[in-house]
Amino acid sequence: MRRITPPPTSRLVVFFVLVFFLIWWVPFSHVLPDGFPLRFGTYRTFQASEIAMWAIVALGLNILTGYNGQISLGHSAFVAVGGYTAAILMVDHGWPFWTTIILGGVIAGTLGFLIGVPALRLTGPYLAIATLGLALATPQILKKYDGLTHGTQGINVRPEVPPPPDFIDDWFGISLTNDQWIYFLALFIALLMTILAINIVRSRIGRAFVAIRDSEIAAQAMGISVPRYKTMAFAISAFYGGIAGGTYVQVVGYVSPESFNFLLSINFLTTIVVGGLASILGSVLGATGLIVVPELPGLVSFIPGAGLPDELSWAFYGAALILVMIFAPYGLAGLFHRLIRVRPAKILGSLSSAYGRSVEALRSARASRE
Amino acid sequence: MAEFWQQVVTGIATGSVYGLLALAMVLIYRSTSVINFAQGEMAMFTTFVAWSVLQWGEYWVMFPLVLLMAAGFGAFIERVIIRPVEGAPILNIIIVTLGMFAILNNVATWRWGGIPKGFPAPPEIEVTGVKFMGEGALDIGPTVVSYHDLTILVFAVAIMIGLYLFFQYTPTGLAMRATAQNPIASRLMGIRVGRMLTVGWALSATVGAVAGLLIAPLILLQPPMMMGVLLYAFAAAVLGGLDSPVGAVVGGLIIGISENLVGTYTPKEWLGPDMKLTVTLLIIVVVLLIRPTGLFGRRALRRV
Amino acid sequence: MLKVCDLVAAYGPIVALHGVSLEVPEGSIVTVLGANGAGKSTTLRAVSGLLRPKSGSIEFEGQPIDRLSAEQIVSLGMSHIPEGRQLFSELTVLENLRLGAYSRFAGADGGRRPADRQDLSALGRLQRYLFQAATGGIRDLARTIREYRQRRQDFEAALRRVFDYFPILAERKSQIAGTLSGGEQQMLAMGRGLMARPRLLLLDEPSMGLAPMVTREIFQIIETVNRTQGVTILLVEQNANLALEIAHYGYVLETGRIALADTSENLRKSEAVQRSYLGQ
Repeated sequence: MRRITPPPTSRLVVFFVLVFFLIWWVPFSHVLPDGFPLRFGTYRTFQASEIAMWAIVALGLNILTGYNGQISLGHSAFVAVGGYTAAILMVDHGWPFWTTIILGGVIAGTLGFLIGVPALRLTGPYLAIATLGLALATPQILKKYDGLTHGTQGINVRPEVPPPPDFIDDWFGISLTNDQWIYFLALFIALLMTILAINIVRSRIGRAFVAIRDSEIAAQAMGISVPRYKTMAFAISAFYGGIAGGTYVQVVGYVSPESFNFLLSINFLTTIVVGGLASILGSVLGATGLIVVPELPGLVSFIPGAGLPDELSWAFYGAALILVMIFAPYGLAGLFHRLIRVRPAKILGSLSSAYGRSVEALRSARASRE
Repeated sequence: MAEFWQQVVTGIATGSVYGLLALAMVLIYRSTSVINFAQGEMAMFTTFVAWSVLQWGEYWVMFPLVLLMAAGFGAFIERVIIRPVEGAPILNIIIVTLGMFAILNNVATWRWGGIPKGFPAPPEIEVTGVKFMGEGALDIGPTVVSYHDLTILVFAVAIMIGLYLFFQYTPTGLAMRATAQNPIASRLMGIRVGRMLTVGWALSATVGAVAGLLIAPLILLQPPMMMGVLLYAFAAAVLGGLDSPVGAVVGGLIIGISENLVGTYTPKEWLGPDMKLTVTLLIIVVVLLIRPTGLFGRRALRRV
Repeated sequence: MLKVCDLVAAYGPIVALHGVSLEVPEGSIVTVLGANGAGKSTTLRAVSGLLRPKSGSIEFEGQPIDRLSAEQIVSLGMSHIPEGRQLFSELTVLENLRLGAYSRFAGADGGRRPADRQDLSALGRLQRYLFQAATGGIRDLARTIREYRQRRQDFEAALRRVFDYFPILAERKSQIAGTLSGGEQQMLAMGRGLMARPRLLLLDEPSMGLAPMVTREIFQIIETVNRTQGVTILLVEQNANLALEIAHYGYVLETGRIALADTSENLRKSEAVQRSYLGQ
């Protein structure tokens, strides 16, 4: 691989394009004609908010699974806890939305810590099943204790969700629709959480996580308290889930026990693996893929003549998953890094681990099979 | 009291089905450390094909044919879909199985979806005047056991024993165990590692096919039919220890029985039948905390 | 028996061997010495088929094997006892030995070498298959039974020989391999390698991690196997002293290239070797 660092100017270009797209495109693309796929009407704006939301979960889950090596199939439970906390506080007690989101995160994080303690005993698939149990149990528990949770009818938060605040009009001179405002809210929260994640990952804590993932025994020998950091990882990733849950309440406006079922958990895991384990970029790309890929057959049919029968779109999704895993074992983030030719040492550094090594093994196995 | 035993007996029947599917999952896990989330869908798919075959053939003609076909199907999946990602991290391969889940489920719905279909139980055979299988039920003490339930149990136990013998006492079984533990050393023994994996998947698909054929008469044949079973099967496999065929069946029975008992005997206000799944999973988690690798699991040894 | 010419091998982008050439005459013990990372294990891996070489040729008994897979090479009569033994640590001693015999007695090929099959064209193979299927049946069954019995006897004979060399293994037949001591594990690894009745044995650092007395014992057995059974041996070792004692010929590998090649006598006397590897 050639050691080329992209020159600073092209990075700046990418940055500005990104900013432009994220911030300006959403409110202003509605001037485009109606059928145009990238016109961000209500539904597309909603989807953009979804991406922000799921990116938050993905970041958290990636911290736990990608950086710390603990597989969790139970994150839908943490999102549920955050979401329900926020919903109940808003609807039943009239709390302002931003405190409900924070509190949702905190309560979910506490739950995460509590789960993290017994999780110390379990590894790999055994941990996966225990956390899956959590995800499966959550809808049932939510339905059962309907005194608190309003049971199967769910909680309709829509009436409580505040409209865009007046200062937007005053400062920027534009009026946003409700969903556009919510999109920016979600985007803002996602950005905050991303910055937080970057900081965690680059700190001592992050390095401790990776050390534990690669070899618990070696980490212990280096003086890292394995139980402390493993439970911390659980708590942090659950906190992220809770924040996402609180955000969900704003974006969707409605929570019910079935909103957070175990399929969601499995989707989360898929998201971070396809996006790229132990990668911030991967979490975001994965969340984007989660929303965008099921749309692709529909977009393709925009071109006359092409297209897939509607009923088979899940098969298409499944095939896409398989193909991505075959051709991009490092996930989408890996593809991206390869595309912009980041210095090889950097990839190996951030992904260096049993994970990275086994992908290398795959490559040399393939090479030696020629 | 009769109620209790009835619940236990029904639990054994459903538990055997979980156990069979769990057995199929354990087969793949043992040889590759992969959890095959598509196991249920593969079984569902082969059962639908069996249904098509039944349109022009008899049950006992269809049975071996479908098993053979399932073996081929499993082998095909290993060679074409799993082989390209063989050396990759486990999570990647698991995602591939999830992809297969989506594909199989979707295609089955598209091809056979709509009205759920009935599927017959293995018809009766008479050997020296004694009836085996078939419809109808038997009275054992205070409970009523259907012939089909007995059939399922017998199949599950027989397959479990058969697999145990296969792995312990045949060269191929030994080679497969070796491949699971140390693929490099296995190659140096002259074992075609790829072929062992293919055999593992083929066997697993066959066992899954049997599970599908046996459960379809109980719940109608429809594309989502195996999804619930898969969860229970996964739980059973883990409970028993993911690398133990005996554990898979025992785990299945335990789950089947406790699911029923919990549903019937816990106070309805704060537990009761709605929380069946939750309580069952709680039991599993408790067991795992005591024995982190399952009841019969062994892989606790990790060399540094 | 073994001829390696200009072998170049790499792990991904890292080149480990830069054109290594060596020869192992039939019936001899040849040793490859060198420091850590010199490429000794890589050489063995390339020879046994675990690593596909980038370029160069490897010939075993006149037949080129550099394009063959490890499984095929094993059935040609070559056994590789890898670095760190690579036992099946959750299986018993007996099961490990049984697996050693797999390529000869239990495998699908059942001792028939791939070379026998390759000389037929695809049409020829199809013809033979149809012929067998047509006349098969009973005749095949009888032959299979006979073959089975013969294989059984061969297996028992090989097992007895291994137990003769390593009586402790007979004692610990049913013990789980992972619970054996270091020396016993090395003996099991060698016994397993010998079960296939190889004509060429590749040994990768048999002395690693073993106490001096145990190591001596093992080297004596290596020497005996070579002398009494005529097994050719390619021995990779860090313990140059012991290796040169039993070897006939030696190579010294340095960062992927052959630095010295000579009879073991001369190597022992050479100043360079004495300084770097014999600690004089």
